[in-house]
Amino acid sequence: MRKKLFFMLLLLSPWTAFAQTSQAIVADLSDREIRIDSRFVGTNLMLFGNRNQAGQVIVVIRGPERNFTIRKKERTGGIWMNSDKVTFKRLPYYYTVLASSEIPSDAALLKTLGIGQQPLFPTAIKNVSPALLEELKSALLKRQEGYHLYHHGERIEFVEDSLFKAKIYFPDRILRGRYLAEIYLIDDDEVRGMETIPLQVYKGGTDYFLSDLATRHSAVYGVMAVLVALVAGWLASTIFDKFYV
Amino acid sequence: MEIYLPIAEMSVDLFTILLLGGLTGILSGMVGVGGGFLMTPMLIFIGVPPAISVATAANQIVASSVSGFLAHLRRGNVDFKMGAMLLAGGIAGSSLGVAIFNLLKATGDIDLVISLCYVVFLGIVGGLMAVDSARVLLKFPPKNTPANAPVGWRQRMLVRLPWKTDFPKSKLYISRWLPVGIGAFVGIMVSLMGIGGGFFLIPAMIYLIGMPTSVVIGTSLFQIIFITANVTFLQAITSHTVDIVLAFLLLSGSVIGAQIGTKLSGRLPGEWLRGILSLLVLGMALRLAYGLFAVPAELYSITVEQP
Repeated sequence: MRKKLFFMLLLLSPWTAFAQTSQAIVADLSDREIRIDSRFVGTNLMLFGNRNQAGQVIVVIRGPERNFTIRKKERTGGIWMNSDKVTFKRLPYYYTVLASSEIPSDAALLKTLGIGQQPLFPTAIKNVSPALLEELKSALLKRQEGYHLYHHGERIEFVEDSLFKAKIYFPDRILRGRYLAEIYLIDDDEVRGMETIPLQVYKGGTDYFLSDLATRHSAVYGVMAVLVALVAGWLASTIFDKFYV
Repeated sequence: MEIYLPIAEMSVDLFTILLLGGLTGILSGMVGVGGGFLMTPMLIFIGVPPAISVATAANQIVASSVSGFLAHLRRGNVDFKMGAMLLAGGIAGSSLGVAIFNLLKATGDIDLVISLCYVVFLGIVGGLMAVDSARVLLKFPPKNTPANAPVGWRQRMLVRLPWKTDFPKSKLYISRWLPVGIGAFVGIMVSLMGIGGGFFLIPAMIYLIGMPTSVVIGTSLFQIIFITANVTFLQAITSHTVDIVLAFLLLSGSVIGAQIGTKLSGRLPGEWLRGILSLLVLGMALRLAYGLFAVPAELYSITVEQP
C-alpha cells in the first residue's frame, strides 16, 4: 500500500509545478537565427517580453569568444615598430547590453553577473602595467565599437507597464556561431527573474560552402581559386581578341 | 550595392571593388607590374583585414597577369626562352626566400625587415630608373630601342659571364646565368615581401639583361602568373586568408583593365613606359619610407584568434 502511495505521489509531482506563480519575466527574440548570405549588410532583431513584477529589465547578448592580441607601435631610432602587446583571452566578439533605465556602473550585483557597459575584461594581467592594460583595452573597445560589434546605452521601451520591447542591431561583421541573450529582472539589487534565449548565426548557401571549403578542404579551395583566376584571365583575353582587335 | 565576403566576413561596395580591380589591371597590362602594390594597401584602406588583403590580391593578380600575358603573346611580345629561365631561377629563389622568411619570423620583427627591404631596393631601382628615363626622354630618342642595354662596367662584367645562348626574341646573346640569377633574386624578394616581383624583374630585364621594352612586359607577366599562383595556393592552405568572392570581384575589373592597359602599352613608346614605371617605383619607395618614419595612422594593431 505504501509503495502504491509513493508511486502515485511520484507521478503527480510534476503537476505541482503548475501551482507556482507565473515567471517573473518572459521574453523572446523576433527570430532565433540570423542567416548570412551574399546580401548581408547587418540586421535588426526585435526583443520583446513581459514582466510580472516591478523591477529594472537588463538584457545582455554575447557572441562567440575570441582571443584578441593588441600591439602598440612605438618610435625606436626614428622608425615606428610594434613593441608592447597584450592578449585578452576569451572575450566575446559581439556584446550588446540594453536596460530599461540607467545602469549604475558600480552596482555590485551587476559586477557579479558580469554585466557592464563593456564585456568583462581582466583587471590585471601578469607582467603588464595597469596603464598599458588600460590603454590597449581602450584601443580594442574603440575598434569593436567602431564596427558596431559592442553596443551599450540603448533603452528598453515599455509599452504599458509590463510589456517591453527593444531593437537589437547586428552589424555585417558578426561571426557565425552560438549567441546567448540573457534577460534579467532586477529589483532592489536582487535578481527577481531571468530568461535566456539562444541565437544562432550561420552562413547560408554559397557563403557557408565557400568558408567551409576554405578552412576544411583548403587545398581544393586553393586550387579552385587559382583555376578561377586562370580561366577568367584567359576568358577576358579571348573575348577582347574577338571583339576589339 | 553591397556584397558579403565569406572569408573576410564583412560586406563591401561592389562598384568600389570593380573600380579598384580595373585600375590595377590597366597598370598591369601597361607596365607589367601586377598591381599588387596598389591593390593591397587600397583593400586595407577600405577595411579588409591586412592578411586577407595580401592573399586575395595575389589571387586576383594571377587573373590580370594571365589576361595581360595573353594579350602580349598575341602581339608576339613574349620571350619564352628567357621566361623559362627566369622561372627556373624564380622557383629556386622563392623556395630559398620562404626559408629565409621563416628564419626572420622566428628571430623578431619581420614586418620591419620587410619594410626596410622595400624602401632600400625600390628606392635604388626607382632612383636609377628615373634618372635614366629623364636623360633619355629629354634627348628625343626613336621608338623601342634596345638603347637601354647595359653600358660601361655593367656591360663589361655581364658580357663576360659564361654559358651563353641565343635569345632570338630579345635579339640577345647572353649568359644563361643572367636570367636564372635574376629570377632567383626576384624569387627571394617576392617570398620575403609578398608581391613585388614586377618591380625588380622589369628594371632588371631592361637594364641588366638589356631586353627591349616591348618584350619585357609580356615576359615579366609570364613569370608573375606562376609566382602569384604559388603564393595564392600556399596562403590558402596555410592561413586560409584567400577570399574567393573578393578575388572574383576584383578580377572582374582587372582582367578587362589588363586588356586596356596592354593596348595602351602598344601605343606608347618604350621610354614613356619606363618613365611611368620609374615614377611608380620611386613613388612607392618614398611612400614606404614615409610610412616607416611618420606617425602611423593606426597606432594599435589588433589580431583575432580562436581561443
